[in-house]
This record gives sequence, C-alpha cells and structure tokens, in this order.
Amino acid sequence: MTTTPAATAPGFKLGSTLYSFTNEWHDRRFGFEDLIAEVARRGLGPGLEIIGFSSIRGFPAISDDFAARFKDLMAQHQLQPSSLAINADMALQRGSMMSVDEAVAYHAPQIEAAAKLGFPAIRSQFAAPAEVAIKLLPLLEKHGIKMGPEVHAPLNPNSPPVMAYREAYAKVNSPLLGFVPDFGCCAFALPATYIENLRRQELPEHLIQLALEVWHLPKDAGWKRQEFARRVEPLKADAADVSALSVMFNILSPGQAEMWKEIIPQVIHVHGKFYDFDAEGNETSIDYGQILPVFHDGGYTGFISSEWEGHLYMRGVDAFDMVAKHQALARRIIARHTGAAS
Amino acid sequence: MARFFKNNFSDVLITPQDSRITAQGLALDVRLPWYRSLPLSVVMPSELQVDGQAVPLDGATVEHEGRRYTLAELPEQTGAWWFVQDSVTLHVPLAAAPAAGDHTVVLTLHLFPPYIPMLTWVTRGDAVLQAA
Repeated sequence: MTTTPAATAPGFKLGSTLYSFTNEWHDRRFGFEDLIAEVARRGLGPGLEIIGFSSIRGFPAISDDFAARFKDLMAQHQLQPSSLAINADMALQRGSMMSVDEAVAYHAPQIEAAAKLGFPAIRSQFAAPAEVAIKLLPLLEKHGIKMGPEVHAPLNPNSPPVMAYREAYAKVNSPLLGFVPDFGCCAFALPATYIENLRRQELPEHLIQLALEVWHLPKDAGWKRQEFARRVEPLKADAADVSALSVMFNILSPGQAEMWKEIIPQVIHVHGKFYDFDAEGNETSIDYGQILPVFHDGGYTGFISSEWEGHLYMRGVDAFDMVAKHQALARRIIARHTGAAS
Repeated sequence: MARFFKNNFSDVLITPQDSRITAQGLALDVRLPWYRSLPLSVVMPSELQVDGQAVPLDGATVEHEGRRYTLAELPEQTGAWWFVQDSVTLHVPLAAAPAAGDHTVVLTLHLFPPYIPMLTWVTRGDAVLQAA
C-alpha cells in the first residue's frame, strides 16, 4: 500500500475561539467562566483560544489568582489553551503611530500574559512591522511560545506585508516565528445571509451590486476596497452605506486553498473562519473540502479555532450550535479525505 | 425617523432602562460598540438627535469608572480602558427641560480601532426615553 500524506499525517486538532461567542459575551448573557464551561459542555474543544483584550478586564495585567483559576478551569473542563490573540494597537494615540520600540513595549506584557496563562501560541497582527516581531524573539524564546500574525482578508501569503515578515523570518530562521492563516482569505462568495442583511436594511441595490462586482474582480484583494471607493464616489451615496459595504472587502476575499501551501511549515495556529451553512452542512462562502486537506496533508498538527463571525450581522442564532456544525463539517471532510470511518 | 444603517451593536448602543432624560439633561448608558475593550482615546460620540433635532455635544461629558471627561479630553485618554462588558454614561445638557412623555434619542459614536488604522467604525443607535 502506498503511504500518502492523507493516510499517514496525524492531522490537526479542533477547538473554539471565544470570539465566536461575541454576542453572548457582549450582551452579558455569559461570564468568562460560563463561556468556558459551555464550550466544554457542548464538546467544542479541546482547543480554547481567547482574545486577551476581550475576555480579561485589565489585560494584559494578569493576577496570580486569575492565572491559577484559569489553569484550574482548563484542567476541570479538559480543554487545552491553544492561542492567545493579542493586539498591535499601533494607533492607540489617535493621529500617531507607535514607534517600533513602543510597539515592542506594548507587546511584551501581552506575551508575558500568554506565558502566565499557559498558552503555547500567540496570534499577533500585521499592523506591527516585522521588526517588532524579530525584537520580541528573545522573549518568546525565554517562554518557549510561538507567535505569528494573522493572515486575514484582504491579505494572502504573497501580499507585501506578509512577504516583509517572510523575508525577516528567513534571516533568523526560528521555529517560534510563524503565521496564523484565516480561511476568510480563500472564500468564493459572500454569505447570502450577509447580503440579505444589507437588503433588509434597505441599502440601495445598485450600490450592493457595485460592491459585489468589485469583490469578484480577478484582482488583488487589497486594491479592491480603494477601487470600490473610486467607483462609488461619483454616485454621492450616504457615507454610512458606503462604510457598511466597504466592510465586505475586509472580512472575506476570493482565494484558492492552494495558496496556503507555501507557508504551511510556518503555520503555528489557524482561524477556521466561517459564517453560515447550507442544508447539507457545508459552509456557504468558503470551500472547506478544498482547504482542510491542504492543512492535513501539509503536516499541520496544531489547533484550528472554529471562528464564527456571523455575529457581525446575525442575532438570535446560537453561536455554540454554529461552532458545533463547523466542527462536524471538519470531521466529515477529514474522515472522507483520509478514508477513515467517521 | 430617517433610515440609518445598523451594525451588530446599533441596537445595544444605548440601554434605555439605564438612561435618563430630565430637566438636568440626558444621561445615556452607552455600551462600547466593539467586540474587545478599547481606551477612551479611540472613541468619540459624534452626533446626537433628540426627537429629530440635532443637539450640540459641546458641553457633553463621558463618565467612566467614576471620572468625567469632556469630549475634547477623550483623545488623550490612552490609559482609561473601556472594558467591553461595561457601560459609560454620556451626560448631555439640554437647552430646555424636556416635555413629559416619550423622546427618541439617536446617538452616533465614532470608533477608531487602533490596530486597523485606516478604519473608522460608525455606530448609530436609538432609544426611546420617558421624561417625567
């Protein structure tokens, strides 16, 4: 029997990011421990990712009590901390941008927080230049933690900011420096529910069609938001409507699953972005059937956080159900791909 | 009321039951229209209407964790963090005491995510408040 990557790769692990439960959290329906307990109760681990500035009051300051309690919760609920999502708040002071040294000082306590809480990986952001990441390497080495910026729409592995990091990384060659792909970069359409929301709010149809036309152009995604702004300018549309439509260029961009292949060895964590499912349980704008085998066969063995972002425009939907559907889809795809019984 | 686009936080921007309209003015319980905590330096209440009429925000103050800030002071507050589950109170003086009964308030709040420097996130939300 020939051994194929599909058959022999150990495969990645599933989990959730608390970002999926943004509505529940923002509405104060769930506290931090409640969310963790519910993730465990519904079997949506084993990985658990949190956004420091969302979940933790006073972040990045972490008290000894909080850290101890968090570790107890992970053990009690049999969850594994997968990634701490941190932020490069370069424009914290409106009208100015942090210098490299200021950014390093801003990131350091967030890395310390990850270490104190027991996270093996950190999701950082491209808002910080590559030099910041390189300067933080000694701190990452001290704690044995991996860090990588999220490759998110409208970026792809060959976008200029990503290439800058790839070139900087090549000079230091550290396994602790990598990337966090977000599957929203390789979509084939915008979710029907997203477009329905625009129509329900009476956004002019000709503006919706214009935005969709630009979104589907076979051009670099980073250019499209500007192109939409150029095409809409002479139409004198309401600024709030234009702003609402511009969001589509930053949440999902067209791309092929294969685009991830060249950086798979440097992937330290993954955001399994999703919005909605069809009647068969397939994601309606992202082809998981194509993407997951790329990561499986490419030897990725880390966590994929199920990241529901439909909360941007959907309410009255059970986010935990959405994550459960996402993980069921992932299991079906991998079972089919590896020929294993599901 | 004129149509305005609602994002996912518009309907929870103002909490009517924790807001007041009195002879002293408006005290609006405002929620951060974002998924993570941010400092006061990157938020700005930008527009207010009561019963369809624009109300100036010149004398408005934001009450956060027991301290009050004028709107002009907000951009400096990089150390005052608005936790995502918390409210702040927006105090706005009114030119005249409001008539008894229902009043429709529409608040617009601009937010500048510090990690997405090109983005301005505009949230408009409304609430009906009762004056005694």
